[in-house]
Amino acid sequence: MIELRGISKFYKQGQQKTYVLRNVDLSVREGEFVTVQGPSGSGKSTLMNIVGMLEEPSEGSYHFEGEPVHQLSEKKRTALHREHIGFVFQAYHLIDELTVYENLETPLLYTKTPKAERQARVAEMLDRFGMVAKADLFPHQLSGGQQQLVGVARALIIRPRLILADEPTGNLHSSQGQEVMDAFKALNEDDGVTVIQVTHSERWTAYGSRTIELHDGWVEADRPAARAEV
Amino acid sequence: MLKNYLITALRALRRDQGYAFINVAGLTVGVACCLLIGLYVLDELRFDRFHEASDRTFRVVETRATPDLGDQLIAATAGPVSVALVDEVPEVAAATRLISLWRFTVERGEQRAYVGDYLVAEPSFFDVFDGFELMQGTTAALDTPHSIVLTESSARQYFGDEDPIGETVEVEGFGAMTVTAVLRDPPANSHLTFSMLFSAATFATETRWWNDYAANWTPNSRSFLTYVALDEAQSAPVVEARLAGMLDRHQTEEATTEAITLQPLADIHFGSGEIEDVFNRDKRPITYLYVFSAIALFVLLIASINYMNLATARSMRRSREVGVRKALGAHRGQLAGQFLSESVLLSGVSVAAAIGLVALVLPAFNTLAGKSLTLSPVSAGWLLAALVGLALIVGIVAGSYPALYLSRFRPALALRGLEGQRRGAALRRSLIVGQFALSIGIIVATLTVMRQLDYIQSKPLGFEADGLVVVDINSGDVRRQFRAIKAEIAAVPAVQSVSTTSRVPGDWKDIVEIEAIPEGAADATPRTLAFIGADEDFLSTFEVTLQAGRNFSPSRPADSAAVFLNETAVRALGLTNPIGQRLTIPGAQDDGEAEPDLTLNVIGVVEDFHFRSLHEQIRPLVIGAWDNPVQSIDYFTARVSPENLPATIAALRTIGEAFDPDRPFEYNFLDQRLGDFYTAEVRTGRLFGIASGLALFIACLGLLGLAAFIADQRAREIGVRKVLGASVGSIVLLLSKDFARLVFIAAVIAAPLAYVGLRRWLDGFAYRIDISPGIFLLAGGLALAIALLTISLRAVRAALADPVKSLRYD
Repeated sequence: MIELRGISKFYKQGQQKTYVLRNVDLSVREGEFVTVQGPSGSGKSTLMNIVGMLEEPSEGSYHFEGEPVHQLSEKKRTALHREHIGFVFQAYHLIDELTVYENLETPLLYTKTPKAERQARVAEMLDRFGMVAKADLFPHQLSGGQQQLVGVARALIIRPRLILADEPTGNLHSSQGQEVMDAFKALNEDDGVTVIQVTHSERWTAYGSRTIELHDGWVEADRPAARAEV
Repeated sequence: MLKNYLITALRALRRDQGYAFINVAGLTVGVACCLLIGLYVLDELRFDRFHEASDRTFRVVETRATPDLGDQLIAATAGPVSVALVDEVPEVAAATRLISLWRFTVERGEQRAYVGDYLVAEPSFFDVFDGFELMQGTTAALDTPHSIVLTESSARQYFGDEDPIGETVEVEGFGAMTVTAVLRDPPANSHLTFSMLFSAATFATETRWWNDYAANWTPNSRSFLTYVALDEAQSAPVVEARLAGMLDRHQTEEATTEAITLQPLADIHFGSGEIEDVFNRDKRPITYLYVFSAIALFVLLIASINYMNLATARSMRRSREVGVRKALGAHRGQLAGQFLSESVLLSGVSVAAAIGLVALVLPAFNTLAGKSLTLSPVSAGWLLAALVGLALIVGIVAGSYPALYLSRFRPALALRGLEGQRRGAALRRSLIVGQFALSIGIIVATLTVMRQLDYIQSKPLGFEADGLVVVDINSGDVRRQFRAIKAEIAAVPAVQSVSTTSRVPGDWKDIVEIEAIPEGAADATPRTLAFIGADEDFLSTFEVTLQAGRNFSPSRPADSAAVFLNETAVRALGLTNPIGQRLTIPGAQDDGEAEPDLTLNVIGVVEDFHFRSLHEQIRPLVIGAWDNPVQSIDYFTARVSPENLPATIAALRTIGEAFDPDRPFEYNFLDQRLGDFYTAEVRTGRLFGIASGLALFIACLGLLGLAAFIADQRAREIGVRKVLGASVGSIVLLLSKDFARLVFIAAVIAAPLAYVGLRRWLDGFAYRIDISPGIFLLAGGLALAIALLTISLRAVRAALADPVKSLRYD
């Protein structure tokens, strides 16, 4: 599904290049649950952004489902990512001015989904995450865990084939985190959705099937996850 | 989708009310300003177009040759021109002539007034002018003698709520005249204005001279206004070509009309700069409209720039939202659309608010601008469409840059709140410079206009206009008894002196002109000279200085041919020794019969004084005796002491009414009358003043908003500095000096542009101020002071803020 070859990312400062990612090769098959680990500044977020097409690599090639992403125009890239990729962020990143309902609806507006179907899908998500009663609330009226559930629901609403979750539980209590991670697990196992997550927690790493370790922009390790019983 | 955008926008604005207020307030004021000036400009552009046939209606303009001043254009013709046009030119659909003579008293019962703003009109009046709306009566109203057509206002004046049709009013010299129709008052944007129409048939039956006068091609009868409606507008060149032949067939040899041309009705208001036409009320150069339109656009632009600046400055706060939306699959176009719909929403709200504001201030604006504009066309579809269009255009212009700017954010950075911090600062700076350059330009213009007006109003005129009361002489009886009346006026305690003259300085209309040749001059070309008749008290009453020679003497009968010259006339006539010089006024040629020449005898030279407006250079002037053969006396002018003016006026009224019981007493203060010359400039000055106030206000609103953002942005820096011991003053300075530099640059840019524009405006005055660097310093200093004051409002708050708070995050 994802083929990264020789991906590097650097910023120029005068004559000097500061590398964030160095020559990363990575393949992810459909249905995998990958965890990216590494210390602060190792390039995890940049890698996620490149996979999520939010950032362009400085060098290297990126094929998504066989499409050469690095050669696509911005418009085509956007079209590709909005059909297939759902994002979940550490800071939730809900839109403050929109209600829960409207936040969930927003991605569908960008894909020009007809109104009736939008209503059906939002209702389905509200139901699935038990938030029907909260549909008209604004993000600041929700707890952090609830906000992140909205974030997950929003990522799922386009029925993505890939979920990118950058420290999705970083700001949550463990019970809230559990809820979010269970949702990912269900998606991955029941619907075959590919998940790539960044996390520092050993506990959440265990949800994945494969772990990649980054250090100073290099891929240091790529191994099957030690699957714990959950 | 649009709903989602608008919901986001509305909720974001609610959260950021200060920002919303600054933008809506600025745009509202800008749009209201634009709307007012737009209504004004439209009204001006539609001058005389309320006649349906206005595109094929023309005014006949004559070109006349003068011996020394070249060809002159005049909007008057000989009487028979309109008749000949109808009879001899096939393309003419209708033609009509109008004339206004001396003033009549018109009375009914208690109601009695002098009427000067009437027109004598023929039945064909209604064939040419279809836009004067009949409220009562028919277009046959002018067919019969002793018919009078009133306007709505004059009907109310004489008849109150009674039905005037079939009733009569008494017109001096013509007896009872029957009201045959009532017209709606001529619109304010009609160059022809009148309070009543007398049927020309009245004059044809009641006077011996009318028929002759109206049929006469000689120069004597050239005071008719002639208008013509053609079968179609395109016929004008054909008709003009035929007019030369018509002139040749009819005009007598000595006539001086060189050509007759047609001036489109719609061009009369703006296109008559070179044409002498006393009936063309408020004519003006079209550049006025350009200037006003430019000001409206500038103010709107300044408000739009506020939006651009504030929206981009605020973009930091929206950076995250942009990042999220991009991650959710929004592409640039969709984001740009979102931000554009936001700005259009704001401008839409502002346009709606502006309509309310305009409705509120329109009466005051009308007074200021001398108009009767209404918002009623708002109900008309086209104006509504124009307003919607304006909202869209302003929204798109103001929103385009923020939209492009924000939608270009790179999502990965935006999500971390890292976009929008540094970028755009340069553009924001240049936009501020632009705003202040415009504001300073308008301020400079205001100051210049005000100074020029001040200069004009305080310039020594060569005579003392303050304290002069002018009383009109309205009958031959009064004229014959003027010595007795003068004596009585002089006996009023507050009256210091009194003079009798044919015209007073500053008289609008008809200071007559004579053509004279110095006796014995080698060059026999006559010179055109203005003429005023005056008695022996003229010099002392008006405080005009006699430079050489002697005053008139009532004891010398021969003084009826004695004259003063002003210094300009002495130069124009090329006299080296003017006292005792004789001047010859060639007798008029009337139907081949030459009248005898007149001879005038120069007895004195007076210092130049401004007897016309300061738009013009002083012209050569001859001051004849009161009993001169050119023009009879028409005014008493009394110099009165300023104490207890009402009692003085009452005393004058008693005298006037005792000698002339049949007519209303009329007087005016000469200084006020002279002030009327500058009405247009005073209006321009006021409009400039308001516009510059608004421009500066809006620009400062923007600065206030921007200062707030910058204070927020630099809160941490300010905190650190305070911890390190910076004083409040030094922090205010830190935040202000950047803006001060921008305002300074703006002043440097504005100065030369304003200079060029104002130079041209001042060229319209023969006597004008120099544009001093002081004005630019003052305007720049003013803008800077207000800008700094605005910024310090926010900067002081930032400087006083508790540094612990701003340093806590991180």
